[in-house]
Amino acid sequence: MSFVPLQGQATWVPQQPARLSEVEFSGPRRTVRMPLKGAIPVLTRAVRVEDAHPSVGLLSGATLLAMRLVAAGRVRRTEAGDAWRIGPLQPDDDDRVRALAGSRAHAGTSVDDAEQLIRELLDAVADTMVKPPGTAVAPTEDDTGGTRRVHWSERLAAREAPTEPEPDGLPDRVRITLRVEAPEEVLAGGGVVLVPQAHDLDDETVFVDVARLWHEGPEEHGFSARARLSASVALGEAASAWEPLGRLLRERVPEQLVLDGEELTGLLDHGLEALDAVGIDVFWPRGLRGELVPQGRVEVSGPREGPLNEGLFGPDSLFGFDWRLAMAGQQLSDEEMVALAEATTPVIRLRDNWVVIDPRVARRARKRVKAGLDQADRAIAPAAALQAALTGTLYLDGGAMQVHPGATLEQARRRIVDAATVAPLPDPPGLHATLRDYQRHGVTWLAELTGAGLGACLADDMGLGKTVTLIALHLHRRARGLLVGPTLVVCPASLMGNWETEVRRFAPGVDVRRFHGSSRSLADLGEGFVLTTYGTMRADTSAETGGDLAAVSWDLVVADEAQHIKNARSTTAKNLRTLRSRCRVALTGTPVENDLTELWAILDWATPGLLGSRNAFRKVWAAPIESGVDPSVARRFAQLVEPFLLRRRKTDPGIAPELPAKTETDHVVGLTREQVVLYETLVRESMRRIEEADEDTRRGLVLALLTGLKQICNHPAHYLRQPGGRLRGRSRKLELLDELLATILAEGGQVLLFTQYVEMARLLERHLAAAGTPSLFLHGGTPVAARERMVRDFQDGQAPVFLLSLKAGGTGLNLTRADHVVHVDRWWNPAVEDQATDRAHRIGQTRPVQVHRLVTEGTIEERIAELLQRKRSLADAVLGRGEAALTELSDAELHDLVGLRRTRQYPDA
Amino acid sequence: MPDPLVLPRSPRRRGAVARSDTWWGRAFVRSFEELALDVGDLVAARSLARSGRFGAIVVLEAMASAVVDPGSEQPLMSQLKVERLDAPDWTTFAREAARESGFTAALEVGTLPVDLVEHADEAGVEVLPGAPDLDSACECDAWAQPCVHALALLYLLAWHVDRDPYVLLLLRGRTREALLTEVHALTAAEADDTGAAEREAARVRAAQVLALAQDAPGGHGLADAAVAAYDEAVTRLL
Repeated sequence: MSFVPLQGQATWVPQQPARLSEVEFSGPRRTVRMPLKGAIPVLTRAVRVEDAHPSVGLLSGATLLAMRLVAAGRVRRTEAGDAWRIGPLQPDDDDRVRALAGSRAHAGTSVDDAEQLIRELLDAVADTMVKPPGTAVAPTEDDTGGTRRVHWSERLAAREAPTEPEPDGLPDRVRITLRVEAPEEVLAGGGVVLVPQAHDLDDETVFVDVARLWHEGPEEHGFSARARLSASVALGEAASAWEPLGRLLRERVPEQLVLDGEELTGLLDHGLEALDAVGIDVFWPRGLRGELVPQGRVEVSGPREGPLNEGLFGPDSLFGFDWRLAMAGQQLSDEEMVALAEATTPVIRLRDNWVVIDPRVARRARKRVKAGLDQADRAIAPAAALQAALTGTLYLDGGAMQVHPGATLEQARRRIVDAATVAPLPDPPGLHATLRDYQRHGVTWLAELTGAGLGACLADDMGLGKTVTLIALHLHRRARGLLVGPTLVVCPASLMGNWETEVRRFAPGVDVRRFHGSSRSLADLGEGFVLTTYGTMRADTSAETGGDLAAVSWDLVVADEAQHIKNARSTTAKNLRTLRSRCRVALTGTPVENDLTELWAILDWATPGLLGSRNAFRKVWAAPIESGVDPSVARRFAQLVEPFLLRRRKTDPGIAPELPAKTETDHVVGLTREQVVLYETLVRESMRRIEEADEDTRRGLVLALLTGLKQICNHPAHYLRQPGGRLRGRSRKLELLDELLATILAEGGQVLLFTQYVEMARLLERHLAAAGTPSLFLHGGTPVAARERMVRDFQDGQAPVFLLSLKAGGTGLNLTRADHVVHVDRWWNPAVEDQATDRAHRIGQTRPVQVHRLVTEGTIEERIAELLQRKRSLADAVLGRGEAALTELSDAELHDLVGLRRTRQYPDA
Repeated sequence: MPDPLVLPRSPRRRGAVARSDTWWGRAFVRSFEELALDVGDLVAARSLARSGRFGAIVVLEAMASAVVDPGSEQPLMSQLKVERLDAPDWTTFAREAARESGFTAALEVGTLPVDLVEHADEAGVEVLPGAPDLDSACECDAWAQPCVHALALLYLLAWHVDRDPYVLLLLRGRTREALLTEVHALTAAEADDTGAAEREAARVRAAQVLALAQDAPGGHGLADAAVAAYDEAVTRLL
């Protein structure tokens, strides 16, 4: 160091940070470049060297000036706090700088350059001097950046002429969030610490503790100097939402807020909500909060007599519900519950962890402990217990709680859930039939559910033998000694005969009687079957005297074709509920699972309370499922409903393998000229009126239009209401029907003719009579006795043609003698059409069944047929609701649907 | 010089007088109402203030002026001067404002914290101008000041002061920017205090270097023991 050449040019090499600046001394033989720290001794003594180079003199003078300033205490920390500078300079200090520059300027260095060099060197020396001896000067990554530094001295100097803060591009508007910190000593005192954080409004991922805005410079915290003010204002707003935060604003620097137990309770009770309302998030350390959830347990309460599971869910059963808090899925022990209840602050120590408890949870725990942990919290109804067991969720007081069934209940749940799949029971004694496998499963399932005191809905496809399954159930209960009375079957009038025949056939010796018409004796009821109709049941149970049916204590009440009670508010449904029975079974061949309200009506009759009240059901299940927001609701609903609903389809593997094939043919026919004129006139006139109509009138007009068009397609005489009008030559459908019938009858076949319209059926009946073809005609007004006779006659082969109006003949009829089915007009709902077809295509049918559908070309019928052939979902969406859906089409859509599409077939029309 | 603050023209107000509804606004009103020569003047002034006849008010440090009936044939310039707080007073006020982060936050949302004004009072700085601090001038023919126009201007200012206390501070001679900058600097200086010890230590070392330099050897350092000893001694201090 002692050999530094001073006679040559010395060059100042500024660096960042300033203390790393260097000086390069050059001599005739060598050049030495050294850090400022090494150069300071040389420069402080160089004034004594007379032949030193002027550049050395400049650096030397500047170094000594710097030393004097540092010695006078004129050093300041930079705003960023990571370095020191000379300052603030007094006016005479500035004079000295300029004087030095003036005196030491030399060839190659102007006065201005010299002054610049001096000021850089002053800062570099200050930085070097203030750093304590031995401080490492090695550059770090951070030190290399930050070329633009804002000096507080400058800021202060600018005080007299303030302007908006320098546009440093750093964020100056911030949003506040609060971070919860949980140091052990504060937790032990029952509180936590809140630390305010400032987030860049434009990029919320950029944030710092608010206190850093006070303690550090923009280089360090990355925010503009003005962010401090913005943060204060935001905290002010936060304090107006939750008052304790106001304490932060009473501090010079809003560093942190220590909350005591009471304040923490307030924060949890309402503070969080209030803060959330003004957009202030509170971040909790992982694991400190939110892990305690109530977990319930439902179990049979009180001692039980008799075999397990028998009548478990009967009306006399009692279930108790209790709950504990659970942490991470594990229930708290009694000791832990007591500790929690006795805690005076929301902070408690659980399983070696500090946990902040929601005061609401703590209050519930307190109540629970006070009531006694060994006591069931409350009694709940069997249906609610069952619902809880099946869904794992108990809906109580408008809230939902996770629950587990107790051992007994869990066992019962398993049996119910598995009932449809367990090894089937043997056929009951007294059954004169061999059940098919799926029927045996059905009986087993019904036996399990009814055995537990529960109802069920058997929704097998038509023709799968629901009647014989039910008869087997009756016999099974009898064999097990479970029967406590007779079985009542409520069914449509048209099915009474069928029931009576089948009971006599499959369970000979079992008493079966009708409660209908003039035969209404309930005397000497044993354990047999009583058959009645919905109408009779309704009238009887409405009677002032209370009714005969209601006076009987039934073992089993069966609602056949249970869609009759799908409207729970109807008198039929209400009255059916008044019948007392051990258990209830609904039978239906119509899918019910697609309409939640109908499903509720049927299942709530079968197992009252299972799905909750109608309103509760809407709120808890239907509304969330229909809104589709939470798929887990639909899943839980399926868990709840599935055990009570058994639906097998004919198409399911192994269900009805022996059913012969079914061939479906669409016969497309044209319109006669008369039909074309009628059709187009009706479309034109109606569309004009529809387009002008208001909403209410429109609906009616659309329906009238649709009906009219379908009638025109059938036959002009149908539309024009000419019951005695000429039939031949006016409808191609009729002509085709003649051809079909000729073929079918020639083959010795028998045929079912379906139409929706009684008027059309009458026209056909007259037409057939004129042609000498014997036919039967069943419609809604046909008396029960006549229906049964007609069915018998047709099955006996007495008439080859059976005319049915769909609404009357849609369900329950067994017409397997027919091997042809003709749909004269189209139904809007394919499922209804299929049901009609299934009158012939069902168990007992031995020949292949031909299905013929008559469709008029270019008309609404064809358009609907097209729709039906498209995806099922689309058809369901549009047609599932029937014509009502069509009334909601726009004018253009409607026009497209009903407009007659001309083809070459009508050149003259 | 900072840009003047321009308070837009107040439209005509109907109905009851909108009295100041803040404590500082009311205090300001009480101050200048004392100056009135006649209670009738105050009534007339309030009525004039409500009339919408004043144009925009231009507020500069420690003064405000506005024109009555601007654009008419006889516009009147009315002016208000307020006794300016001097720089040390403002520094005192800023120091008080820096004591609680909530103070500037309150000012930013248009509130003058009572605590801040009281602390400043205790420190000897009365931010709210008293009657003697107010002086007015007007082009009208009134024989004494404050005239009805000046009083009306004061009422108008009081309404603005209600909504924004910075207007009051500006009338006392400080812009919002200047005040905030000073508060900011003070809180930053507070943080600087942690460096005091280091500064002291540096002073001592620098003084020692200077003392050594007084008697520095003059050689070139080639095989010069005195130079080597000097360099070593100084290096120890760095």
